[in-house]
Amino acid sequence: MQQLREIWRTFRRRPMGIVGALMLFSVVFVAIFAPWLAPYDPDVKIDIDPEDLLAPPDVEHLLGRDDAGKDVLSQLIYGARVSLTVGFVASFMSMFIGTTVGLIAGYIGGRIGNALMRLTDFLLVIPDLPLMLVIISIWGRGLWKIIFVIGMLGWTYNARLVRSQVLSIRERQFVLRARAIGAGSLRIILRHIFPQVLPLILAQAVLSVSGAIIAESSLSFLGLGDPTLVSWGMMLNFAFERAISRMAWWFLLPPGFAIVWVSVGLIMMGTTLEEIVNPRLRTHHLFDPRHMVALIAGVRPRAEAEGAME
Amino acid sequence: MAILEVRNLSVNYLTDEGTALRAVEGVSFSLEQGRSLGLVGESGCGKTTAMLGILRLLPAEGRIVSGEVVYDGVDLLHVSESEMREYRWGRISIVFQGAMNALNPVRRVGDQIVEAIMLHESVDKRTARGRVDELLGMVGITSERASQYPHQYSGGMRQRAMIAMALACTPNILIADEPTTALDVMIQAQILDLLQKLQKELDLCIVLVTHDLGVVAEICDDVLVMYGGKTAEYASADIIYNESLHPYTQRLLEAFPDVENPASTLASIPGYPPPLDALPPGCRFEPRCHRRKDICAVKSPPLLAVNSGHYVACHPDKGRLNGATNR
Amino acid sequence: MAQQTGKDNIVLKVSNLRKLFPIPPGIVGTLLSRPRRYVHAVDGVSFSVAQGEILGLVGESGSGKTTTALCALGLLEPTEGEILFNGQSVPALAHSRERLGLRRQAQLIFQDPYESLNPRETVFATVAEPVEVHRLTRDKVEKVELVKAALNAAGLKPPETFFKRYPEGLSGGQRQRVVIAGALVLNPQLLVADEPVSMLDVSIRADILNLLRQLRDEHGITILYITHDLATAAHFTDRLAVMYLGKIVEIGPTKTVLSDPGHPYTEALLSVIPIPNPRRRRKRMILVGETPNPIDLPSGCRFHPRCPVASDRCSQIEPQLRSVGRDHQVACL
Repeated sequence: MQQLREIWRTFRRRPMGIVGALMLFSVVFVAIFAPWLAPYDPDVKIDIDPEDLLAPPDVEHLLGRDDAGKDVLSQLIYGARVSLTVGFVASFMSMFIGTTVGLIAGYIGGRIGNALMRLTDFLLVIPDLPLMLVIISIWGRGLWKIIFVIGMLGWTYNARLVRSQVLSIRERQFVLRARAIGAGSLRIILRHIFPQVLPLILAQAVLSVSGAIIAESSLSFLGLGDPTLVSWGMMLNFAFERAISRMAWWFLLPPGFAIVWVSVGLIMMGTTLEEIVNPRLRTHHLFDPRHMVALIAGVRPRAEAEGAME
Repeated sequence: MAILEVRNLSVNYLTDEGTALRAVEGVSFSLEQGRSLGLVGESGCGKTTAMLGILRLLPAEGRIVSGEVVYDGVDLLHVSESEMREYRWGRISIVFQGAMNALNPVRRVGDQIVEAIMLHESVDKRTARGRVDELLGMVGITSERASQYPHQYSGGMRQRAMIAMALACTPNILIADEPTTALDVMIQAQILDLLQKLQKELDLCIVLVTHDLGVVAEICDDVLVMYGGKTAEYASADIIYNESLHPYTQRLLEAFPDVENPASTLASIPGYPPPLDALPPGCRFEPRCHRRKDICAVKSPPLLAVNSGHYVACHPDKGRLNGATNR
Repeated sequence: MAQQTGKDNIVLKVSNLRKLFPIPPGIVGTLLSRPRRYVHAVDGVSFSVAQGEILGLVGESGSGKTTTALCALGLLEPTEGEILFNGQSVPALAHSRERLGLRRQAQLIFQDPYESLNPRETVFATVAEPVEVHRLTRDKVEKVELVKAALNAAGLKPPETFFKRYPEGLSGGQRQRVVIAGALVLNPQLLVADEPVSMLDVSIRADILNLLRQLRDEHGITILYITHDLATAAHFTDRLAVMYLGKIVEIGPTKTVLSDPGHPYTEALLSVIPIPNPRRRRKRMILVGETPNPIDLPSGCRFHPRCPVASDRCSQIEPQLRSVGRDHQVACL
């Protein structure tokens, strides 16, 4: 808990992270309050005239209308729900699986660890998107199917990361102490090792949400999304098919922009977190000698301005 | 002839909240040509900070509040940064605590020393390489080893390599901060032996910063005992070890295990050093002192000169410290 | 396991312990079928520790002392040899369901007080963990009492003030006491202390060592003290074993070994201990070079390349421990 607080304190001071967080939370806000923010309910059928199809933006429809005459802005707003749901749930799934695999492979090692790692490598090597395409095409479309597929294929990177961290944490003296006390593997993993990898996982999680959102958008864009729901990817799909010829930019640009917006926000947040939690050289109660030697070897010392008298 | 005179050096650290921690307060000593000084004290007593202050290598939170550091007639605290860079390493050099882990693991040891030399002196690479061989020879490393990587060196050898690097520009003064901590006792002896040899051959002044009194007894001529950021006692090694007056020095000596006279219990000093953000108003050692008096908690003891060359910061008992004068 | 009294009760008996670590051959090695190379960390070590005794295992890095300790506790699997704890085989115990019993009776204290505590856990959690692992009690109140007693015994008073503190706010000496408290809470019979004070200031070392001594005096705990510092070993141990490159070169009562060392290595170690008095000079036997790596061992006596009194025979014959006095053995020709 204390460490999370420390991370937050450092995070607060990084502009990139703050901006990213704000970008993300703006989307989350929109998604949560969609029914109040969207001017129209996308499920309700409205009577449309033929000239309403792909109508450009006007006062009543700020982003115009799509090829079926529905309000683009409302779809955009509701689309946030889908993208974020898939993003968070799929990401959680893959983080959970990846972390578990990483912890077990890293701490227990041996044959089980090897087997897990071979499985991980196998899945890592296969290109994600084509595999997802194949699976969805065979299995069928649907929101939860998409979440499942993305989650099941996205855990490999995290597993590798966690495993390598665990390998080094495993050798630390307090883990040896826990063993000396007689603690069993499960206890050690949960109580001593997991808290040490938690910051790393957190940073990874944020980045992986972005990956999941893009994966879902790609699938939807390629026509494999859930047909009952509006997602940004799907909007892009329709826009590409039908709106390009008419240069209906109001239908084409907003979903793409939205995807970019949330991804960039997540990536900025995640990168900042990653920087903060990156395990650096531990020198505990000694000064960092590398830094000092760099100072002496000619690099401008930090105390330059303060070296003189106050 | 004193080549380095430090007068009343005081260093503060600024915390996030803006308070100033008095890490070093009023430390003075003088370093004579050809003599070595041992700076002794517990971890956190300010000895490393004092050295960093002298070299103006304090981290961003450090501030030199007052004092003079006179090297060869020049007050180093008042020269410009570019001039300071000449002094740093060219005249006064330092081997940091834990320096043996400071070598870049992906570059050859010889290359790193060459780079350091060339950054400080305008010589060509060939000359620098020759110098590297010479330096390594001085510290007892064969020249073939220059092309090896740090992980191929043992701990003791890495420490020697750092000493070689520190000597690269022929300084007059070498500050060694805990040079033997984390080394085996035999390697420790080798390093101390090496330092002693270098002192003689290069007419080097060595300032040995450590918490280990035994190490200091081996090679230092003078000893300055620090406690809580201030000088407790300052005298020649002979006096410190045989006629010390400060209670802290005495307890420190008693805490040292003596192989030749193993007593049944080792003496220790109860309590802990004062936290820098809650320094007592009087003597900083008073809470742990076995000879404390009422005045000690109230008034900070001045540094008294007992004889020439022997200084103690303690409130004198009646009858003791005769002839003591205020410094 | 009931605590047995009596000085002649052997708590730990190690016989011919060998621990070899294989070195992975690498591609070239495998292709060329080179013979396997090993790190001979421990190569034939035997000693025993009686109830209530403090045995010192002295050696520099590379001597195998820590490996010996880990094997003795069953935390490392020995390659060869027998380790008996209260008459029972340690490797067998370590793999069986009795494992917890062994862990409870034999505890370990480490060198680096900055690394041996989980930085995310409070002092209370750390000291309470053994209680939870061994299910000593389910009762919350009782648990608090056990932790309090352990912290008290380790010299952290008043104990309640330490409950909620984190390691990073504690000094080195305090951290070490927390580790000791964590070991004491189980009321162990044997305490293996691996360099418990070498990372602490000299002025604090005495405190910790005196504490350990007190634990022996008052509670009869047996202690295996591992260090490279002969000086502290001199003050603290009853018997001393000097190790070099995986073997014991000298073993005997501390007073005897120090006053009358039989092995040149012991002599050399004694001579280089810094004396805090510039007036007392003695001849220091500073050995040349460093301890060679335990992979390619010297022939014959392992010490002969650095030995100041080595003869030709020393490079050919490996000396065994032979008795040179009462309970005093030396491995030298």
